[in-house]
Amino acid sequence: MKFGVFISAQQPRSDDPVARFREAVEQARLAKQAGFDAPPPPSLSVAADQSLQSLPLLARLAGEAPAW
Amino acid sequence: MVIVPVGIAAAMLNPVQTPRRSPASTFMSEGKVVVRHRHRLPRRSNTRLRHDRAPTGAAHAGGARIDQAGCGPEEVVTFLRASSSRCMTPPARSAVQSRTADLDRRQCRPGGAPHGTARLFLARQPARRIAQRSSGNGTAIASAGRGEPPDATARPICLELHVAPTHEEAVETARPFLEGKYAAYAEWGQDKVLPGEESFRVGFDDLARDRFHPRTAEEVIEQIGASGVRRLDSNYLIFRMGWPGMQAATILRVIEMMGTQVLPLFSTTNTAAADGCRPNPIVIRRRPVSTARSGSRPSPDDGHFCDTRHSRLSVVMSAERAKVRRRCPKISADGRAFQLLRDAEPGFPAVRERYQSLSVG
Repeated sequence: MKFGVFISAQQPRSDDPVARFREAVEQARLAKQAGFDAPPPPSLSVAADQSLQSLPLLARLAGEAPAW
Repeated sequence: MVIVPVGIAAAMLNPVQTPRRSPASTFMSEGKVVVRHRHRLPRRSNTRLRHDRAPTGAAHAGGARIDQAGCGPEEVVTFLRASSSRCMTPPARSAVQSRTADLDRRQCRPGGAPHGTARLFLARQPARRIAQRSSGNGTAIASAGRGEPPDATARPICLELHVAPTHEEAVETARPFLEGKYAAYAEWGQDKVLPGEESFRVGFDDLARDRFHPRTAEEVIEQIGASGVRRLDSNYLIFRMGWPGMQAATILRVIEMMGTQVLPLFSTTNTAAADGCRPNPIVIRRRPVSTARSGSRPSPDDGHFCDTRHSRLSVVMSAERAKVRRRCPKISADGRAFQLLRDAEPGFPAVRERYQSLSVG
């Protein structure tokens, strides 16, 4: 059994994307330490929000958790 | 090779707004240079990885282009550091020596933030095509990034999940975010492709049935082990545990609760779960017990059942937690993710402070 986790790449438009990005990095780091198996694919879901670019974010998060 | 700006590609995928490309790339790379490619590679019978020098001279260093068997359209994203004098790929971690081309990671030494190269299928690929790749000779989407050979046996499924100390708190916390999300889906008309009369424009309870999973940790364990996985025939669960607008501290708490209370029971390092994809290392049985002092045992049909899973689980979980703590001392006895973060790299104080204010059940 494998487990993965999505990291939300989205945030309300009023949010600071830099702060949300740093939180995403922290979530990825914790997810790795918590034992999740796969790098977190950034998820996009809600149209009214803004979003970090998925592929650059995924590459960045993959580098943040070296054992992945 | 055709170079396509990722921002444009993302805008084509869905109507989500993306921040302007350049600023986003700058703060996500944190000073590193971002190189993005889109390859359309022919199918090949073998996998190989070609290690290239960066294309623009001394200001960049390192970089890899990944060729993978069975690939159709794909995108490769590489983060490179801007300073070649401090960023050398250690030979021991050379991409060429990597077991797989799915994901290559190279740390910048000395110091500095790591950088990575990630590869994945575009989400807009039809599901049937992804399924063909997962079951055929292509690369399973589930194996991307695992540093493992393509796993044709992976049967991934994505679930909406939220974990809290009580079921009520889990529902209360997740509900506004899920309602907003599925209202957006309904606005897009995504429910028009659902079978029959199914719609997203229904009450939350109907919407959540068999779709969302706000639960306690023990309920998650039961769901994964007892019925959920067997019913879905999946061996790879991907959870969405946070939604836009949710506090990062809340998401961290869910990740931490999953890591300390759920995942250890299904870990591949758990010898009971290490034999392939067997879904549940714990035997959860509902055994009939007598409710009469005379010792008469009721039949399974009379409803006199005692669910023993909680007591059994508590014993197993305690043992597993002890194993995990021995294996990973950073997972502290009090189960606070902050303990993990504190021992990690310098983090983000604002998030930590918010997280500290939350109690973990």
